[in-house]
Amino acid sequence: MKKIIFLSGTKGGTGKTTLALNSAVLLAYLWRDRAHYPVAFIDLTPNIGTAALILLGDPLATWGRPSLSDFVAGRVADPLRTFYIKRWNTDKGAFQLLFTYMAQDVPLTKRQLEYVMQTVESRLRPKILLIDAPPLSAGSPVAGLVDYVVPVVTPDVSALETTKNYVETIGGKRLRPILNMYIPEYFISPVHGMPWDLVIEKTLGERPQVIPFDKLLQAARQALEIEVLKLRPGESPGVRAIVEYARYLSATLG
Amino acid sequence: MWFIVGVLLNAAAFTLCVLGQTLAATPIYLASLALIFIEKLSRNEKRKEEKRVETRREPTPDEIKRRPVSAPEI
Repeated sequence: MKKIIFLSGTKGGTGKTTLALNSAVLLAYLWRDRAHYPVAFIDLTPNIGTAALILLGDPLATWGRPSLSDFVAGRVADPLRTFYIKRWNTDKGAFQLLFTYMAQDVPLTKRQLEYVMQTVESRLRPKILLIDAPPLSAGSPVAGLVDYVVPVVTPDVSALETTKNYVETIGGKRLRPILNMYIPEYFISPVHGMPWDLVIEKTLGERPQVIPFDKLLQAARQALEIEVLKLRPGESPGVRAIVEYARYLSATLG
Repeated sequence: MWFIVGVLLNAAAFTLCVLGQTLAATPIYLASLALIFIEKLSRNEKRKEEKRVETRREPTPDEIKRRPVSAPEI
């Protein structure tokens, strides 16, 4: 099981959740015949993250159900009791995603997270475990536990700097960075005096996958829907770029 | 392009009329009118097409919500 995190350092609002969730769904669909649970997803955002809300489909759906925070607080002994299965039936076959989330804001230790990962790996055997974490701070429990890091930045100097710092802190192999919410008309960084993709290549060591700013992605988010399941690549350049990145992930990790 | 040719022919027909060559000027005048109208019609069609492109509306969040789930195109 390969453990992956989408990371923007201390910066929020860069699109980590959108990219992590859509990548997880695309890989679950692509690998649906390779494993029973090809992809597991952990939303570490306290008080129910957006990814969990989208997967549950209803904010009230969390009532009375155990979540990872119950395991962390000692109310549930087996972390697998806090995992759920989201299943989709489409014209091209059914596929499913395994997920858990934090319903409360309780401090998660590195040891607890490591135990959760080990349990998932030994008993459910997914091909990958995707982690969606809130903006990180020093001493994050994720540090040292992931195999791969996907740096996600926006055309913003502070996002780039904090991401660069935390990629090293978290550890793991760096995958192709993502330049999200890119506006092609403003392709030059006025601070660096060069195109944004070159700035990112210089800072993070590889040319990024560019995901253009797309109103349709914002609309799908307002609807609490998973973009790649509701929008076609032909109508949404953002979805087209996310699909391209998922193909890259599949080729690299599969 | 056709509009300019039409205007030039129109001017030529006017000149012929001034010179007293009314019979020769008549077909040239009619041809000039036809060219000018053709150009005008094609411009109107282009404008209509542009308007059609502009009015292609993006789906709203509510419309996206009501769409059925489809297999990802990957």
